[in-house]
Amino acid sequence: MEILGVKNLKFAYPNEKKQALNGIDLSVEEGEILLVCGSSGSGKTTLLRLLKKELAPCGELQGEITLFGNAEKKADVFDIGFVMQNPHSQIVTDKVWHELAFALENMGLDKNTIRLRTGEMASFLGISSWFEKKTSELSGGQLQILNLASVMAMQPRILLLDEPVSQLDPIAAREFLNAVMRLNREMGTTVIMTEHRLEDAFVLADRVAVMQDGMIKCVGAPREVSERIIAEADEEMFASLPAAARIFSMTGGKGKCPLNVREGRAYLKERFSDRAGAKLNSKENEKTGDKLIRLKDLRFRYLKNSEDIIKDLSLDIYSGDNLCILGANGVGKSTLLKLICSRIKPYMGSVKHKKGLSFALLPQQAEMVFLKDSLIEDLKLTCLENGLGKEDAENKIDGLKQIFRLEGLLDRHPYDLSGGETQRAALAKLMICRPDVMLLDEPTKGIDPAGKRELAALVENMRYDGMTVVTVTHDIEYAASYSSRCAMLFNGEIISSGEPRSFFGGNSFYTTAANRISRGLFDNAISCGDVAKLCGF
Amino acid sequence: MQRFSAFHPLASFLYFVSALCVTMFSRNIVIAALSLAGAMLFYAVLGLRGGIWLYFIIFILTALSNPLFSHNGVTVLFFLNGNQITLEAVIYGVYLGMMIMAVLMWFSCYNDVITSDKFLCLFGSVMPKAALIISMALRLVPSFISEGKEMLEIHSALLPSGKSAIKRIKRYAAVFSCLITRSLEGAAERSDSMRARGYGKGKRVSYSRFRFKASDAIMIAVSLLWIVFMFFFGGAMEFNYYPEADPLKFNAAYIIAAAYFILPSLINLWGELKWRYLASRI
Amino acid sequence: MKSLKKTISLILLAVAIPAAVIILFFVLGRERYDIASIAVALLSTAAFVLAFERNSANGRLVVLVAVMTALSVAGRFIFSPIAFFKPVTAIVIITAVYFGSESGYITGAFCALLSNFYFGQGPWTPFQMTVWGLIGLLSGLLSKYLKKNTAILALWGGVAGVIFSMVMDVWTTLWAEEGFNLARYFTNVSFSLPIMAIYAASNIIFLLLLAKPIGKKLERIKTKYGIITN
Repeated sequence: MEILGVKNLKFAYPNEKKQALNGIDLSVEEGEILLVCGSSGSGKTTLLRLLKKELAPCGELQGEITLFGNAEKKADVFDIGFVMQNPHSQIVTDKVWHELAFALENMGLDKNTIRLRTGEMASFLGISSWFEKKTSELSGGQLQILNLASVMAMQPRILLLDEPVSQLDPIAAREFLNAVMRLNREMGTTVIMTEHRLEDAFVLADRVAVMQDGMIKCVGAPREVSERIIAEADEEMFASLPAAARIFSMTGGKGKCPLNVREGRAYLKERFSDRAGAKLNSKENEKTGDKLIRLKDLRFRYLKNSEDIIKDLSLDIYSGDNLCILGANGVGKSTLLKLICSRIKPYMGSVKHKKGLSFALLPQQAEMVFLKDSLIEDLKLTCLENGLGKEDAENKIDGLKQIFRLEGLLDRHPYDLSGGETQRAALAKLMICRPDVMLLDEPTKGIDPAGKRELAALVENMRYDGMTVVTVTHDIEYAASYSSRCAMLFNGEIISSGEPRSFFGGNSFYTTAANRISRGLFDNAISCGDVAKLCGF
Repeated sequence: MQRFSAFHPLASFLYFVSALCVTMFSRNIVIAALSLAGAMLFYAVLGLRGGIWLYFIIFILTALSNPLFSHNGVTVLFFLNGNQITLEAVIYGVYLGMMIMAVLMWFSCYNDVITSDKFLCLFGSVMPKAALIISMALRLVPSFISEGKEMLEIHSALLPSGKSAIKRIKRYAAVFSCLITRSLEGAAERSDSMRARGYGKGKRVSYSRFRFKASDAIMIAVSLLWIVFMFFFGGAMEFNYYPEADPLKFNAAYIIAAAYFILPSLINLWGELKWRYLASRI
Repeated sequence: MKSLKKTISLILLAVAIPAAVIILFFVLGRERYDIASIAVALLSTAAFVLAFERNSANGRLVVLVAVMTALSVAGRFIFSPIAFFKPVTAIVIITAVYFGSESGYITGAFCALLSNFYFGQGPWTPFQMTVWGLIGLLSGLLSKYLKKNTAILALWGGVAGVIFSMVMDVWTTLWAEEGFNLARYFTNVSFSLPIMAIYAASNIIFLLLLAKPIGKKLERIKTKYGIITN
């Protein structure tokens, strides 16, 4: 049965000529999971918000939205649940149990019903152990689960999720998607979800719709859609496909497109078993410069009676490095960055810098580096504060504008920029004082594949200029593709390090999907490109 | 075993209100002393520490300063700078010090027992909108603090030049103004999330997890009966200090007052003993 | 229903507060200014908050008041390295100027209540709520003049600091003994004079630094969400 239908939906934001949505036709069956994907700015979020009347943006709307098989009946607010991107900004109350009850309070239910429903929801989604906690003490992943639970407590028939895992680390993201899958399988809730990381989302989707420029390009089962994307050589979407599908396409695969590691392995075995044992040599050690920073046996804790976050950590950083420090959330990655630039001091061990070394740190929330109301004002002020004259400042900003592609952004408010734009602008600002070492804290969070490529290019550019870059991240694929050296932080210490090929080649779980697909057949292949190369393409 | 904290917020709130009312209304030095003793005992039973020295200092300051300001009373002790220091004023000062210290200590206990959840439960049903504002603000304060501190850190690192006080204040103000922008932007998304969950549709109820038990009803009845007794039957509220202090006389109301003031400590201690007994038999 | 509740809160405001004072003065037959002042503070706060409850104000305004309240309390922590500089009064005044006297009162009163969740509730809570609330209320009423000129705004901030300190001194004096001892009051004021001066100065500095940028942001938010203020 059709639960939601969209007919020739057109939408334009006020004061904008371009149609944000340009004739969308969509039909959603009751109980299915529909994944809506597409690059940033393709209209995914607009479409999703239009489906929920309370969140519908202002603008010119044409076409028809049919809910629950009846165009006349307006949907009740409680029939459609909506979870947004940012886990922090959706939480309303100070306690977990109260947040769960928030929607139910709005429904005006009696005390016992609320008690029952919050209890049910908490035990279904595994919230029981932190049911009494303060919301300000939760991690991003927990907050997002709480947002989901709080919405599901209303018992909506349709659940809309707008890039719900883009701000989460991979483990929390998987946990969230599993929760969604269980809600769908066990409660029959219809789910419509947008996302640009398809590796995990493909697993649970029944159907996928690809959007481009406000239109739906194709709809179908994940496999069909992957095959379509491959056939059409859509570069933008291709980068978001699961690694197995990319390898399949790069090796000129025919027939059924593999979508996960298991299928990918089967595909490689079947077609390329004759090439078994092929290996790539570790990149010969890239010419590394002299030792810039030496961390020796560091121990650090924030409070006198808290636990050590960093335990006996030693690490050397060389000039010209592009070092990626990997690790899950909460292992002390951000703390390590602050220790490296001596913003905080260890209580044991030593941090030695080469004389006169200067640092810049890009925080996780990049927009925090701005103080002024427009980007240009902020950059100008920074130039003046760094002792540049008026003319020099303008030249400098002009130069930065070119490198960091800030045309058209300079007059905007820093908070009105998109994720990737904010990051480029923040990097530009940090570059004004020309640091020797650039520290990046989780720069790939919420950034789509195109943005990551761009970031990597900028990092290369900085290294070319003689800078050293240290990145902490949980993004394995980014580290494998772009770093010159990787180190893994676990439980406050560096447990392994090396150049990416030998580093990931040596890990069996904490490694890229391409490496897991080719493991046993090839050695040291860590990216889809590597695998294709070893297959002879 | 903090059994007193397990009462319904209404019961424990009424206890504190009644104890505070009697302590503040009564001008009786014995009641003040009993209240102070009860408050100190409960303070200890709750395992609270800090602040006790401050309370003593306030006590001493109040007790000492009163004879300097007030020269009423007939029993002159001595003259200071030509002003008479009277015994009555000293006694009144001691009373005042004990009363103020008792009130402050009851409030310390109140702060430990009546947590913000309980406060919101009490007022949520009468003032749901206000309760929601307070709950939201309680959620926001810690995240604003950590965001503010992080931004300060970032900007101190970006501009290490400012050491002078004015520069520091300016930087703090700039960061704070930026924090305000961020939080106002966040406010938009937050109210979206509220509307998406039906805020503003129809009548909102206020849910609290606390159950009202028979023991709560008993506790409330005890509080109400006690306060009526103290005000209208006990005759223990009045005490004259001037021109001559009343002599101390035994009054049955003192026993009832004392019993009430140590009630929460007794409830907690009883719980502790029972728990130890039960634990020893596990 | 709604008008009934509004009437109730108005009755509370107009009748109950003076009645409470009269009862306390004449029925108990003693000059208990301390008790009377607590009663007045509690009842007037209750009346204002109830009136706010009954106004079916925009849901967004609820969020904004919560945000401003939280900001002022967070400010007390963020500015803790700079002793005595607390942006509370400045934020209350700015909120009142842009969102009207009612929001001003509520923000002021809740700032006091909320910060005492962290620093400890005490007998001072109702007074702080009333005084900060009234500062917000007055700033809202004066908003026409305050918005026009930053110098006047800063001056008003200084005055508000003095009012706050002097009223709190009235209360400490009342609490100390029966009746109102003028000598004791002046001693209290002289003791708190340096702190009063710092409060007033910090209010002035904050308003000079923050009024413009915050005002701009609030104005933008106001038009963006269509919040209508009284």
